[in-house]
Amino acid sequence: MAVLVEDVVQQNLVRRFLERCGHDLRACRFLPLPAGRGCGEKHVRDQYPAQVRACRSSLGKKTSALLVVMIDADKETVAQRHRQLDRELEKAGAQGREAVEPIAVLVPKRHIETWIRALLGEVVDEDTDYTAPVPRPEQIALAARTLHTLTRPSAALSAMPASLAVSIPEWQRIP
Amino acid sequence: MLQRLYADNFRCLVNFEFRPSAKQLVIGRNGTGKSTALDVLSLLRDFSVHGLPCEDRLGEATRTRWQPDVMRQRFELDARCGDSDYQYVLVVEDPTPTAIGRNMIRVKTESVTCGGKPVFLLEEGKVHLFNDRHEDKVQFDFDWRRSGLAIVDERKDNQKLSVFRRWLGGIVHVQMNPWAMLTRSEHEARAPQKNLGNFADWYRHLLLDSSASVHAALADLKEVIPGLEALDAKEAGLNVRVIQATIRSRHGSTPLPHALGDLSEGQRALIALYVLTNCAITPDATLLIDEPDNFIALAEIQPWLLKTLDRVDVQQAQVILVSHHPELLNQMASQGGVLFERPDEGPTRALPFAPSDDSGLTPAEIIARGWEVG
Repeated sequence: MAVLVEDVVQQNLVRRFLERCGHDLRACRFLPLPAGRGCGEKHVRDQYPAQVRACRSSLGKKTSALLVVMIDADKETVAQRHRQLDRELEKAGAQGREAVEPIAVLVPKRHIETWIRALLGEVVDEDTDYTAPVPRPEQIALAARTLHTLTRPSAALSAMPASLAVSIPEWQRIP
Repeated sequence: MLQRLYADNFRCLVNFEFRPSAKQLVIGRNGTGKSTALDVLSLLRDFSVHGLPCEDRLGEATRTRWQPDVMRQRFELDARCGDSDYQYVLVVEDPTPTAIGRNMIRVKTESVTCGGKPVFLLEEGKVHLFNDRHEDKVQFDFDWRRSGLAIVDERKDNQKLSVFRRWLGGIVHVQMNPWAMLTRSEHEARAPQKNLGNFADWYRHLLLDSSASVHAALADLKEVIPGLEALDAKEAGLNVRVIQATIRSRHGSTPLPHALGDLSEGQRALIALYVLTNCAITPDATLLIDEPDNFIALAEIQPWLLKTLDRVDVQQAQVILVSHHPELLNQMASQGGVLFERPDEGPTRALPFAPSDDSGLTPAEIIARGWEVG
């Protein structure tokens, strides 16, 4: 399993979620984080085609070929971010992502901190910048726990940011 | 937790300041002073808490070569221990510089403050001991070649000082050398040596003193070393124990004993790393590891690193790692990594790793291309 994300906050939320799902974290490959500030979204877009190709080439060969991708919508819409990623595949000569493929693409809007605050019970909107203060590790762990509950098939969905609601089927791609 | 280290006139550290975070990666080219900065911390631990003479680590032996007339060395530590902020200052000087090779130091000043108020002072050969209300209760003359802090006993009325001494004395500084990790132990050791040469002695101590942490380390190691079932200190004579791993091979039904020294260097390094993570990262502790990635397989670096960083969070401890390895650079450099550099081979400077680069390159790739500076 490979995890492609923009920054350490996203990485921590995904790690904690995978842990809740019972995945062996030793078997998860957390891909390099980008160097410069504010270039995380570009980093994910740049790396996406190669990681999709690697995921597809490993289908049937490895015990888990799952690819988890997270990219903030920022001031774009969730649909725009998905289209940008599709275009990256197109540019690389690869087919678009199929619904049956083990590739989960998670797009928080405005950013991951919006989801974390919402999962911790705060009322949030998707336009405000919530990047400061940086969520503490225990807050991320708690958010992942709530997220895990929300993404179980029988979960009752409460009020949540629209981007989080539409991401539920993507989270459910993670076994 | 160490919040600030200041060193002046110590090898390549001149008016040097470093403010590490709880999870600190230090990067930089060879010879930029990364290991030297860690050496200052273990030097102060050994001199000021353990009372070692450190004649080969202070004074003439370590003064900055390009300023031969400066005889004074100054060190400062700012640390947060529990809810209190401490500052430790040590100033040593060479009283009568004469012949080359002679190494004489004199403690000019040594002090500890808690919340800005004194809890210990050694000045002009006189020790002042303060109680927890910062009252100067005891004074006596003292040997100017040694640390006065090292001889202070823990008492009910000097708990503030004791908290600081325990933190400083508990700093663990490791630069692994698996070849030095001997199988045999003739006594217990409360802390590991820098090269882990006394690992067997330390592990023997941990088995008695921190059995839950050792158990957790073993649980991790069972996932890392296939077939590992136990890591024991087996009796091998009067007061002698040998560290022995019990490993079940897929080719035989009976688990077989392997002396620590018979394991591969990589396996020994993995054992050391997981024992350090589980046993040396305790509340408020500071762990320093110089190049933890040496010797171990590429696939093992990230799982160990992430487990270690998680433990630092849980224990509210501190780990300072020095590394050139892409796995560490790509996980930690952009999260507050500090770059050491020495412009024109002059004094070391600690700068935030903040490349202006927006190429989408990984930190390791930026550093490999030499783009990390400027």
